[in-house]
Order: sequence, then C-alpha cells, then structure tokens
Amino acid sequence: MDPIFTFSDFSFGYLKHELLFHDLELKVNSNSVTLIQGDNGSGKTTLCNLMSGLLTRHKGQFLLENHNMDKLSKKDISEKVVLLKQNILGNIVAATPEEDLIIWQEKFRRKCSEDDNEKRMKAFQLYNMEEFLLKPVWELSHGQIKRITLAALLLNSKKFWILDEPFSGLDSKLISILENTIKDRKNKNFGTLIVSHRSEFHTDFIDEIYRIENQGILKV
Amino acid sequence: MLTLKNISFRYRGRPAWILQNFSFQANPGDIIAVKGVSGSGKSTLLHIFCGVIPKLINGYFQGDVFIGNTDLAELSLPETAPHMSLVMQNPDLQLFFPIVEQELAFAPENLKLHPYEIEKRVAGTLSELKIGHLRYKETANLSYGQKKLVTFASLLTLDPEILLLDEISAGISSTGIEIIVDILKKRADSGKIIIIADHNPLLLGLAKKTIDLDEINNGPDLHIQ
Ligand SMILES: Nc1ncnc2c1ncn2[C@@H]1O[C@H](COP(=O)(O)OP(=O)(O)OP(=O)(O)O)[C@@H](O)[C@H]1O
Ligand SMILES: Nc1ncnc2c1ncn2[C@@H]1O[C@H](COP(=O)(O)OP(=O)(O)O)[C@@H](O)[C@H]1O
Ligand SMILES: [Mg+2]
Ligand SMILES: [Mg+2]
Repeated sequence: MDPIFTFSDFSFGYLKHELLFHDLELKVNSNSVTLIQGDNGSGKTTLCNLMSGLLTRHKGQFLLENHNMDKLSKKDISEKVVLLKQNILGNIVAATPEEDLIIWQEKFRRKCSEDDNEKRMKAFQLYNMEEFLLKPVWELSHGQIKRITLAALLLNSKKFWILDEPFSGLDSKLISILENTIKDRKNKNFGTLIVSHRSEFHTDFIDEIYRIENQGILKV
Repeated sequence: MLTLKNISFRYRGRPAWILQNFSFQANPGDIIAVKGVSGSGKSTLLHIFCGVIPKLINGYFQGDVFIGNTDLAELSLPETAPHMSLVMQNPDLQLFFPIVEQELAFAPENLKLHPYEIEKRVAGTLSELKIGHLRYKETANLSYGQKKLVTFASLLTLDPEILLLDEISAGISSTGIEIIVDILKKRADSGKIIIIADHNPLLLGLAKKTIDLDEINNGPDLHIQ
C-alpha cells in the first residue's frame, strides 16, 4: 500500500511555546479507510487542515505522496485531496446548493464537459436534495447544508477524501448512504480519512484506527 | 410548566407545514426528546419554543406558547432568556466574547448577581463540565467541540428554568457526552425542563417523553400543496 501522507519527526504548534504535535509518526494509506479519534481539542481538525494545506509551518518530514508538503502549492494539494470541514458553513462558497456545485465543477475543469448537469443532479439525488437546489443556504437546515458538501464530494471522487466529523448531525439513513459511498470508493482503490467521535462502525468498514494522544498518534 | 397550544407553522415560500395544530405540555423535571430526520423541523420546533419563531423568522405562525401562565407573545426575547434559553446548533453564532471566562460571566452579570455568586457559577460550571483549562482561552481559537461545550456552559451559568438543546452532542467526545448526560439528569432532578433535539441515543434515552417529527409529519392530511 502506498501512503498518501507520511509524517516523520513531525511537530506543529499554534503557539511557539506550546506544541500540539511532537515527533509524530504516521503513514496514511492512499487506498484504505483510516479513522482518527481523540478528545475534544486533541488536534484532529488541526491534522486535517495540515493535510489539506490550510495550515503550514510545521517542523520535520511531511510528505504528500513523494513530495514535500512545503513545496506544494494549494492548487497542487487540492488536486489530490479534498476536505470536508467540521464547521459546515466553512465548506459553502455560494448562495444556493446548485450554485455551490457549479463552482466546484468550474474550479477543477480542464475541459468543458457535457454531462456536468447530470453529474450534479445525480449527486444531489443521492442525498435527497433535489427539492432545495435553488433555496438560499441561510434557509436550509444544518443537515441540508451538510448534504450540499457531501454532494460536492461526489464530484471529487478521484481525490483522497479527508472528512472531519462527517456523520455528526446526520440521521441514520444519511449515515448509511455516506458509509456506502465510502465503501464503494474503497473498492475502487480511493481512500478516505475520517475524523469521528462515533465508535460503532461495522468491522469491515474501517481499515485502520488511530488515536491522538499526548502530542502524538497511536494505532488502536 | 411549558405549554404549546394549537401550533401551526410553515416557512414563507415553503409549501410543507412543519407543524399543524400541535399541542404539547412539559412539566418541571421533564426531559423531552425531539426526534426526526434531517430537515424534519427539530430546530424549527426549538425556535418556536423560545419565541425566535415568530419574533424573528418570517412565516405563517398560529397558536400560543405559555411559560406557566405567561403568554410568550408578551415577553421580548431578552425577557424570555432568563426563563428559557437555547443552545444553538452552530456554536459560532453564539459566542460573542473574546475570552471564555467573559462568555460565561455575561449572563449572570446581566442578571445583576453578586460578584461572589457570579464567580461561583462560572467556576462551578467550568469544573462541572471539566473545562477549567479553557477559562482564559480565546473563544475564537477553540476547537469545535470546545466551542460547543462553552456555549453549553454559558447556558448553565444563565441557569434558566427551561433548557433547549439543539444537537448538543454533535462533535462532542464520548467522555464529554457522559458529562453532559450527568449534568442534564441533575438539572432535571432539580426541576428544570430540558428539551433535547438530537440523534445521539444516550441523550435521547434520557427522555420520558418524545416528540417524533417523522411520525407527526407522516400523519394524515398534513401536506397541503
Ligand atoms: N488558531 C488557533 N490558535 C491557537 N490555538 C488553536 C487554534 N486552533 C485550534 N487551537 C487549539 O488547538 C487544539 C486542537 O484544536 P483542534 O481544532 O485541532 O481540535 P479537535 O481535535 O479537532 O477538537 P474537536 O473534537 O473539538 O473538534 C485545541 O486546544 C484548540 O484550542
Ligand atoms: N429560515 C428558513 N426559511 C425557510 N425554510 C427554512 C428556514 N429554516 C429552515 N427551513 C426549512 O424547514 C425545514 C426544517 O428545518 P429545521 O428545523 O432546521 O430541520 P432539522 O430537523 O434538521 O433541525 C427544512 O426543510 C428547512 O429547509
Ligand atoms: Mg475538530
Ligand atoms: Mg437542526
């Protein structure tokens, strides 16, 4: 298995005198499902943000595939990985669901594609959002806003997914739709990293579990 | 006692009724669960309880809400808060002060409590929730779960008779949820009314009564077009 991320001797802190991670060692597989657990405030979101290039200035080794993270541009990184932020409003860039997904499609377009509309519709249908395509996001429920971003992820199916608390705020039906999507991806060799406080996963769903503790990360 | 009488509500521009002619009563000591799929109206119902609907949100609203014998329509939102207050789903919308301690002291200061009592509430709540280490932290830099715990803490320092919790468990560690569960049990035992909209089985399991919005919405003659 090829790691998509490699951390070695890795340290990071928001404040000079206070390290959040110290000598962290971790390899994240590119084609399996990794679960990261940890107490509130242990550094899970920080790790996600580092892996998506939203936070920089670490110490030690930090590779995306074989490339040094500090040498990569935001664009390079965003062509390989996509992040679902825990703060769901932070994922939304447009005023309506429809517009939001169109922006995603345009952002990564290399060539114009005829089936954009169809892809978008399929993504919204999977999460039962057809009814709300043109509604302003400030009139949507929390779960509905989250579903916009879950639909956007489907337009990024070839990237590695980093999902910060993807299941929270979803009802059981939506949870199983998302779980099935992640399983399907794995069968096609696309990996996912999940941060979650949930522990009741099917045993065949998660390949590796890690726990952030004492400035490092341990395999569970 | 908290009473809803013949409440009907739908948002402007939306055909579906969230509630139609819905009545409900909660007594001191009750823990009530609000259940339902995503978009079923859990947050809407909590907004009706606390008066944000109809006072701030547009739509078709009918019916009455009473705290004891007081009609909620006669109270402004700031007048309602010391009796009944809501922890919102999104903590970023509810944190106003740069430092955690200020956030927690705000409500009891507003109630013009004695400084000794304010300190007692702030310190007591921090230790009850086991977040003493956050006291002097900047709210903006907290993790998501820490922000949620702080918004819950500021509800506890306000100490209203009726506590409304909108998906309080989202993003909270299992240890954190156990702490919240213990606190809610204690508050209910001391006569508070607690209304919980959530998906977490531990929290829903606390309730003696449940409002199941899926059931209500699948009932007869509800969706006018
Ligand atoms: N911009 C910042 N400046 C300073 N400290 C920060 C900043 N962002 C986060 N922190 C602190 O870093 C620690 C880790 O935060 P992070 O958001 O990564 O935690 P988390 O594991 O995702 O927690 P949660 O489960 O609550 O989401 C916390 O103690 C937090 O207060
Ligand atoms: N301000 C608003 N204007 C119009 N529709 C709204 C508004 N807020 C929520 N809705 C709609 O009302 C329904 C119920 O929302 P909400 O109560 O937030 O659901 P939930 O059960 O997920 O908390 C959803 O379909 C949502 O899109
Ligand atoms: Mg986090
Ligand atoms: Mg809600």
